[in-house]
Amino acid sequence: MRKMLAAVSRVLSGVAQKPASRVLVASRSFANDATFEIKKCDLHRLEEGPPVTTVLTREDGLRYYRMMQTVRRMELKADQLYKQKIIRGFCHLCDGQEACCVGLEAGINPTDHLITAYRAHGFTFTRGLSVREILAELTGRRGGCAKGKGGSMHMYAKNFYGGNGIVGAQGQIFEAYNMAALWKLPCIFICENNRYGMGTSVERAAASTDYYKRGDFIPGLRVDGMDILCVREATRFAAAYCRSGKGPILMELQTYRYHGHSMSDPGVSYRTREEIQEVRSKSDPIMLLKDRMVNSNLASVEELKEIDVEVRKEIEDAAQFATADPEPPLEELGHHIYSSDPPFEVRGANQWIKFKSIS
Amino acid sequence: MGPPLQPNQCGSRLGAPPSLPAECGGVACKPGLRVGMAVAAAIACRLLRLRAAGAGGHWRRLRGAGLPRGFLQPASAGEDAAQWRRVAHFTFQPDPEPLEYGQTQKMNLFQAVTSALDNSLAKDPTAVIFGEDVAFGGVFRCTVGLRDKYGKDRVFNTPLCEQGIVGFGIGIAVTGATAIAEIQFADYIFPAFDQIVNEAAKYRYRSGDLFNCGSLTIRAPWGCVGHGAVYHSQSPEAFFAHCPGIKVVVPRSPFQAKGLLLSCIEDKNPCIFFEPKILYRAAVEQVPVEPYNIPLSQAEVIQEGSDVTLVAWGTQVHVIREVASMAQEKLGVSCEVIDLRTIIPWDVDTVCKSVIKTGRLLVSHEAPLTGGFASEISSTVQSEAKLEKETGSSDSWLICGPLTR
Repeated sequence: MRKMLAAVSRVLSGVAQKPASRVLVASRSFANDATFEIKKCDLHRLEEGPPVTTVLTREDGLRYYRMMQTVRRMELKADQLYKQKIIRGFCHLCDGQEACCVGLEAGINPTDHLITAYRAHGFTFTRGLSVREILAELTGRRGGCAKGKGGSMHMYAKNFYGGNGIVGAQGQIFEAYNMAALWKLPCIFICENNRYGMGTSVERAAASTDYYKRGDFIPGLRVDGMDILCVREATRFAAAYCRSGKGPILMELQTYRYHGHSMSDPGVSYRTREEIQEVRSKSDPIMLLKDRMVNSNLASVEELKEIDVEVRKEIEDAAQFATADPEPPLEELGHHIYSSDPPFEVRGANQWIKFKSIS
Repeated sequence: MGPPLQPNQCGSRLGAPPSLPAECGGVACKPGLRVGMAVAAAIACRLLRLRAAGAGGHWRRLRGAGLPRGFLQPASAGEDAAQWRRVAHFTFQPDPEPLEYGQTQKMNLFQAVTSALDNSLAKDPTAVIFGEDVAFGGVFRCTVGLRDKYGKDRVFNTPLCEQGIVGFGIGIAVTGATAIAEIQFADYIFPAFDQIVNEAAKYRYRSGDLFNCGSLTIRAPWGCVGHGAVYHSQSPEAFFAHCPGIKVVVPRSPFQAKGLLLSCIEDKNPCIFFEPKILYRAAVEQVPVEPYNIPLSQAEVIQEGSDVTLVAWGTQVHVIREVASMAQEKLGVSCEVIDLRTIIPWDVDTVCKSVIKTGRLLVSHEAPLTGGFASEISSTVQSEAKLEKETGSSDSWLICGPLTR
């Protein structure tokens, strides 16, 4: 029965009778959920880890797909805008790492707090900001989430503390590990291991590449960061661990970024194009989710294609807005340096032009 | 004229300017000083010298334009060695009892700080104090009794990691709590410099006012103490003066300290509060028991005068007060003494107004001369203040402290 319906729908969509095919698709019954096996996580100082099977509902699956596709298209649009010089400054893209941000968000509550480094566009989106606000921030316009003054590395939202340009060097991380473990703070430390620190491969930069073990006295997990379900389960496990009062935990997500470190890095001087292609064809997170969903009848290819189209449109609209929105006025340059009442004068690069530090 | 000028070898060989161990107190002078000021300071210095050395001063006396240079020529090496006093000397000058804030109590500087912290923790349920060794009361006894009174969740020790202390403080402040961090000595603040300058100072700006760590206050003992040497004597205010987004405050007395510290804690910007450690016990005053605020970014004219403006902060305020009274007594020079109080953002108007009135400026601080905050004051005054008395020269004197070389 199902096969017949599928055949009929194929014929009809071939005739491009869109409304008719949509009706057909809607009447096709999908599974409500499916169970999948996921890779077992390597453990450090833990007796047991996250489960090796998980249930994905159709609704969740579609939502994750849409979110990952949005992040992917948003990053590619940012790449395009950067090359057109509409986005300037620094831009660190996270395409390839969508499973990390979407999977993480799936495993925590919106009331949990998240802070990250500069590869933050994906997290900014999953934490609740719209693509419009993100792209407008990248182009430095008023409609941006930090009013156009923060840029790529300084995006903030409720319960999302950025987006930070300066990141913890090793010393700072270890001090943080110590304090978190000493006071049993419910904190998940996450390392998105995309195999390269800027242009240096982890093998050449780290005495030990088992990052999940480097918390030493803090337990750790190594997670397949290209599989969104694996990330989700690991996050749920880690969150439960922290919430039970046992203290901090570390998660290393093994992932990959397709772009270079930033837009000024072509990304091929320290790795081969073949390597990038291989990851793209074998472990692309969106492709993996799509295959899973289609093969277990959680969604159809057409349905997912429709989502693709909708996402593309959303991104286009956002890019339009981001390009057309006016820049913040020059007076805002001095705002929020201090919180001061009455505001006082700040001198800019030109000593005869003063701005008011209104806040 | 006289032998070439030797910087950093004036006055304090006498053991004065006070508060500093002998071999210190550089005077940086440029040729072509305004004669009036030169004379005043020269005589002041010389008098201090005489006072220490006894009646038969060994300074050469030169007349005329060579006077400043000649005066600044130190006595030859062997002669006065015995006369050099290597003991810190200054006299804390308490202010009169404040009557407008209710009942007062005799407190020294660390007790005034404890009182301010006590008031803060009582008023603000989100306030927490943390740092190395604060739980038992702190190495300078500034937090004595607070852990017993407010509990171990509000007054607690951190591991030995200044970067972590300030980073942690920024985090707490961003979530809305009032964070009062203690760095055990200002000399140790440098590992936290990145956190202060790159994170704390810029948090509000870079997030477009969505987040801020304004409720962070960092306290640190500051300045010379006589026996502190390299790592227990530093005055790092100039390093932080270069950073918009934070406020830096230095009190001169217990009454000032409590009011300024309470203002820092309540201020919506991250503040660094430097406490002159030599005054912790030496400064005793009547201080109100109830909380009160002294506004930030307002300098105080402690003593009005008409001939020269003397600016200082922290311990040096007492030094220049003494200098001012000596100058008045012996030379009839009327000095206007200003305590800057807030280093950044500093009160340009008060200082400029004063210099316009007197026509002469002398800034004194303990920190090294080059790049010290006096250079900022001096250059700003010279560019901003429209001097009515044009004396043809735009030099100013910077007298600086022990680590000046």
